[in-house]
Amino acid sequence: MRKDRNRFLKDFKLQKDQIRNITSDMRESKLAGESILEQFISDFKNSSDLSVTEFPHLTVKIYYFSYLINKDHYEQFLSMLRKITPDEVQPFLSHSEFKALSDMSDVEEAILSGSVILFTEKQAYELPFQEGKGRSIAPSETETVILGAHDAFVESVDVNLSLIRKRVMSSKLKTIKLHVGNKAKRTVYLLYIEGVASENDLEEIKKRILSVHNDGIVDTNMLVQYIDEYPNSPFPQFYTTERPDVVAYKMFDGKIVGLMDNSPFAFCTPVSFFDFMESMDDFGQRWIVGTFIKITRYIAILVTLLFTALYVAVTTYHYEMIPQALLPTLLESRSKVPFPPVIEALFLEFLLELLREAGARLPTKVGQTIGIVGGIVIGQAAVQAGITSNILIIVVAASAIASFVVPSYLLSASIRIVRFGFIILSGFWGNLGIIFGMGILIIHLSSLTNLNSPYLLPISPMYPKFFKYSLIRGPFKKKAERG
Amino acid sequence: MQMKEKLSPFQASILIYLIQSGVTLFFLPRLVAEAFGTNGWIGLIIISIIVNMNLFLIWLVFKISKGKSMLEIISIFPKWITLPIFLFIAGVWLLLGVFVMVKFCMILRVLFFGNVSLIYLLSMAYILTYMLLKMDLYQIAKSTVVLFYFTIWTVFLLAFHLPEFSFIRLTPFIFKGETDMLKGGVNIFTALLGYELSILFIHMIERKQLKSLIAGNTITSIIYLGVTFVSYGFFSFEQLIREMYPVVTLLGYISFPVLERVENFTFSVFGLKVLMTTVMYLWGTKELLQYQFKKIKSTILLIGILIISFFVSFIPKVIKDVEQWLTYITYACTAIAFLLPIFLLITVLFTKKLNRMSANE
Repeated sequence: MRKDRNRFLKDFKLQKDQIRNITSDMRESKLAGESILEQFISDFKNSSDLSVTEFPHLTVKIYYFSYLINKDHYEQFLSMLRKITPDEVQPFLSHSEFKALSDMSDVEEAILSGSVILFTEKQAYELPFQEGKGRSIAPSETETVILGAHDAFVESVDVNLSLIRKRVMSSKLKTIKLHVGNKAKRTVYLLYIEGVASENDLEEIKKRILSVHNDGIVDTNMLVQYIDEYPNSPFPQFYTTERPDVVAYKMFDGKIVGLMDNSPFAFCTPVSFFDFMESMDDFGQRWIVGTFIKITRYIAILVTLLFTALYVAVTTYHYEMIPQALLPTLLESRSKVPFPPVIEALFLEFLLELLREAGARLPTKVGQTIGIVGGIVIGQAAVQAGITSNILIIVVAASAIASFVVPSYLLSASIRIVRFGFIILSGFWGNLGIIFGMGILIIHLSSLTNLNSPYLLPISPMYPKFFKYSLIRGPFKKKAERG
Repeated sequence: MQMKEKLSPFQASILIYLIQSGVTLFFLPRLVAEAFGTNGWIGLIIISIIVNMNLFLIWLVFKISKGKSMLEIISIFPKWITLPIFLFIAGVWLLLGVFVMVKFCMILRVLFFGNVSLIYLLSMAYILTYMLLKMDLYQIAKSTVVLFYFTIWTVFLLAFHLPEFSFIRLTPFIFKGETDMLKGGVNIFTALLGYELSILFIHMIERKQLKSLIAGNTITSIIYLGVTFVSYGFFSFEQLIREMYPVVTLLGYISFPVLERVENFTFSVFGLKVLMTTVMYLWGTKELLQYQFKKIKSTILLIGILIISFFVSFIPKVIKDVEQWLTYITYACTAIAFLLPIFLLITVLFTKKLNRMSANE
């Protein structure tokens, strides 16, 4: 930026003589700049943090938010401005680095995003002296990997764009800038690889984002709930991630990625249920290991959903299903408990949810205490007090562990909620209730779509050739086949 | 948008299989034994071929009419002519769909869930039916595929019976014993019913229409054949005839190291297969009635059909009543399965001839 400015000053000196010929009649006309300035002042009245610098002899007023700009650049600019005469102002500002703004909404957006706004009598100019303050790039805490890159997105959308550009080094990577919101506009970037992502999908997602007029959308995870098709479903439909490597991978896969300013999350679309089951670790592993881990995750989902429900069903209605060798242990464990299994299970599951939520909200140092307290309360004390049975604790713990195996935090949370439904159903009708719940779940999941793409793709509708890319983690050499 | 999407051949096959596969499976080996006697499983193959011929007939209608749907073909008749026919067919399909579910629920009550009132069981079934029927066929087919995966593993449970399987029990005789080939044959044929609904959606299949329909029937036939064959080698012939629900007995034999007597679970899973039969028959009913009464909103029509179904479900009091009803309804349904395509074929040929004549003039 500084180099550009020096080059510009050189040009400026060469042209100095020509510039003096510019007539003063421009100054006389009723100027558009003034009307924008008036509007600007009325819009930003009562903003005590707005700074202004005036150059009366140049008829120039400069407005900015001092904490949003880079003060060095600004001081440099001011020192240059002090040296010029009134006639040189116009040519000085005609340099391409300073963007002339004719619309009030552009002025508003520019000053709020950290630019300095200079008003002459005629025009408003944006002087790009933004300061890139913010968190530095750090590993993600929500999506950790063992094998793979460790950088994660930050709140600055420019940094996030740079992280993606570094990974997708191609001119085919295209970006579209959109705005959401009514009063407080937020910037959303859509990124895609031309020729890989579907044009129809792009149009559709653009249309949806532009139709959002609500203010107060502060994060990508909020934005996607305004643009998804089934807002009442417990299941997440847009895949959101903090990881630039995931985003790059998804883009090569034909997906469209959205970034929002001041949010460290990117969303990907169109995605299916199986995208939520994927972790970058799978790709770092040998394909056999990766596939094994993926299958483990599917089993984990079933365990989370059904294990506690099955315990309730069996101990309430179907004692005949327990093998004889196991029966005495189970009966003994249950004999002290005064509640029906469904109450016992719901109580323990609820307690576990409380623990999990408390652990997520508390500072890390205090969080450890919760773990110890929870471990004692749930573990020994509850059994000794005769509130729950030993076996239920194993069951609940197993399903809790299984729920943490799901790589996506969003999906994991959804599944834990759905699990409560299964427990209640099994308390009412035993195994039949579980099957009924399964029926509802299957019908619901298969009716979901994300950007008109079926949620259970490639299982339903079935595309067996995609199995090796999404259901399992197929060997790499075959990945090149995908077009 | 979704309405334009067509069924893939695979979806169509799975749909046909799940419509066909219903409550009859549980006593099919007995039916086969009663009808064909020893080694009756061979008879199933013959019946499956007859079904394929019927499917060919349905495909012929589709082919000659150049991809028209049944309702388009029939639209040359004024509505007052089609009204009684459609009402009859819709009635038969509705009753078949409902009673298949009622029968399943009653067996479920008798065998495993004696304390659960029938009204709960049927309510569950109708809630799921409503969830599926409020979507269009493409969406139903999507759910069907997942339900297929969720239920197909039960077939592999047959492997548990292989150690007990004995070829000696098959006997060297073919079709011996007290047999009633015709009546029994028709009874077994009804186990494969459901394929005739394809006449309503064959035009929605993307490609390979005939192949996908026949593949669907083949899946059903193979599973039926497998179950019957295993039953013949697992039970003695006399036992097979006396077992009320031989397949349930087979399920009862299965046990895992951690869980045993899982038959109530597996039997409940079968409920989802039966559900698809009910759903698709009610879908057929809805399509026909919607054609006749275009002005009624589809949601209202659907709720109407479900309310009627719910109340009809309580007409029969015991399993025997349901069986009695089902016997007559399946006969009517078999007649529809053959006569409807023939009638459509004649209509198509007749329309073509009329068109040609008018073109010549």
